[in-house]
Amino acid sequence: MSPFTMIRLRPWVQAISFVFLVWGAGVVGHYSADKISGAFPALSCAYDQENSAYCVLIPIQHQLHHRVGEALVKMQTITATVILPLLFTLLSFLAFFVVLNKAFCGWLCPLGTAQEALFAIGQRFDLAFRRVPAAWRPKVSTLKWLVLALAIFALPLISGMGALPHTFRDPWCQVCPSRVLTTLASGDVTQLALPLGGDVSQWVFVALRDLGFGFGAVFALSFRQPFCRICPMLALHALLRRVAPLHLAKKASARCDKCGLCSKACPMDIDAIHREHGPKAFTADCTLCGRCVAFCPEDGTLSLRLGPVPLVTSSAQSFARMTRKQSPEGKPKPVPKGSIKGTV
Amino acid sequence: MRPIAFVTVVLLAASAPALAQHENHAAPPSGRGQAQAWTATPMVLGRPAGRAEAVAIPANMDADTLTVIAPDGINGGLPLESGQARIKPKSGNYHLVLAQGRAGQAVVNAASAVYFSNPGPAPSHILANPPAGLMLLPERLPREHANFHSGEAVRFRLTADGTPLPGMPVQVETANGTRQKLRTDLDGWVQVSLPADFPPVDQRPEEAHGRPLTAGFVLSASLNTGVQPHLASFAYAYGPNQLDKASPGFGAGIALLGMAFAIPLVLRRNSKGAA
Repeated sequence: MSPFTMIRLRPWVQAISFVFLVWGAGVVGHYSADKISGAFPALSCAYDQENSAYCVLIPIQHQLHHRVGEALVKMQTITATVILPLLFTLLSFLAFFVVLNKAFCGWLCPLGTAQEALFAIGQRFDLAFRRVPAAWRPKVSTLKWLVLALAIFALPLISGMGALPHTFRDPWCQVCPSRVLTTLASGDVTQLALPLGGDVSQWVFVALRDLGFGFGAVFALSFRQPFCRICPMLALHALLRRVAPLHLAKKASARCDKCGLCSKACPMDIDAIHREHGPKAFTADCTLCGRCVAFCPEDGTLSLRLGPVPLVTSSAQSFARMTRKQSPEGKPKPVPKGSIKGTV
Repeated sequence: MRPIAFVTVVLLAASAPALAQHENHAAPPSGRGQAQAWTATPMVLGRPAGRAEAVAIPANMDADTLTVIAPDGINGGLPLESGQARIKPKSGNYHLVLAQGRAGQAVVNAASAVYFSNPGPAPSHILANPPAGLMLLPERLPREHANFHSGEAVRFRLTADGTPLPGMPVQVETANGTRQKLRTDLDGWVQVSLPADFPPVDQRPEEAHGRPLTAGFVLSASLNTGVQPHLASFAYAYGPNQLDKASPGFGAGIALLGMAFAIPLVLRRNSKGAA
């Protein structure tokens, strides 16, 4: 497959995935989310009652809260019945993950798809284009690890031990923008609704969720994938990215020093694609979207590979076709008057 | 990655979904032991009882047999001890629990459902193919992380040996005190709008893991065949409507505030740090 074809194919895969993951229960059955896995490697929200699969993050948080944390408090022996459910959740996640690696982010995640659609709209209307300043990128890149450590592992465990309110049983899910997006998409406003009383922490969580959702929905018009920068799913993927065969590969090339288009094309602002080669070029932030491959002007330098087998390889020809359509940053290029759509 | 390592990981991971177990988040038929206090209708209650176990408790009836039907259709008799029976499922989420016996002169088929966090077949088949006798079953049950709730319309079907019974009266009772009489349509369906009858302030202690407090409800229908009356019931639980104590308008207002914060970033042209 040529990189150009891949870039044309990906929005279709994303759209089908969005429909399946947000409204899929109507097609594959009301109980499908309970059946398929409960450990899907993309932000398919468990609070969306019309979806077809649950994201892995909710069982991880709940098992840490309900089982491990509570067992620690009761000073019981941590037996197989406590730890095994968590291990099995992670293995279920891995069963999916090994198929596509981090492409679950770049190709299937409903939230990722919505953000890309918003960015495309924003750039079509010539709104501002923003990136993370180069000096900030390493710090921004560590945020997702903090979120994974705190929101997915530490806080549910501490809450299960009784030191925090029960609202901290799934702190990531409490603020996850996908929870608002997918439930609203299925006509359910309960996850947007602000509590009118009760626990203060619950109120704060919902307010943060709504505020973050609103901010991100508009910011995504100018900034590529804002939520992905802090997403614990991306970090969880990153932990395991070396065990899955699908990966990004880069050969060393002297011409890369003068280029850097791959880094400009990357929606996650990854500098390493430009500066590194070999395994170091495939970083924790990569979502395997393939834009770097499509915008690499050199034959064979960048590729998406399944083990040793190249699936998509950079080529000067695809680069030429891509750059007629849009800039590496994603700004669409105007179609000259009198030209035939799609050929200029 | 080396091929052997890859194959090992795939085999291990492929076996995981069959073993994976998540927490039980579906609403158990609770009522907190109040079943006999709020209704005299014969019924069976199913409640979680520890990890991957539940108990079935017949109430207001003399149960002769207690049966659990797994989603794959496999039936199993349950021995009654001290008025209740333990259920230990092998696979699958929802299991149907049937108590058969008598209440006064009536022959009773009481049903409920219990949820387990096990992968396995959906309960669609057992709900669409009711067991023999007079049965009252819901069209579908809530998914994980969801409950039946006030204001929700739920359809139930009354059947006798699998044949729908049209025009039959069905009684709805809730632990919060609502009583309704409805009638099945031509296909044996009755649509129940679960009532908004939860008190403004619930004095009961919190449920485990911060789950919403629920209350029991039971539907029942009788059939007089001339020899002896038959009665079918279905008992389960419902919770309050989340929107009773939350405002989508205020939530949307906060989301709009977030949008307002981002607008200057979108409108301002590129500055420092921009590509």
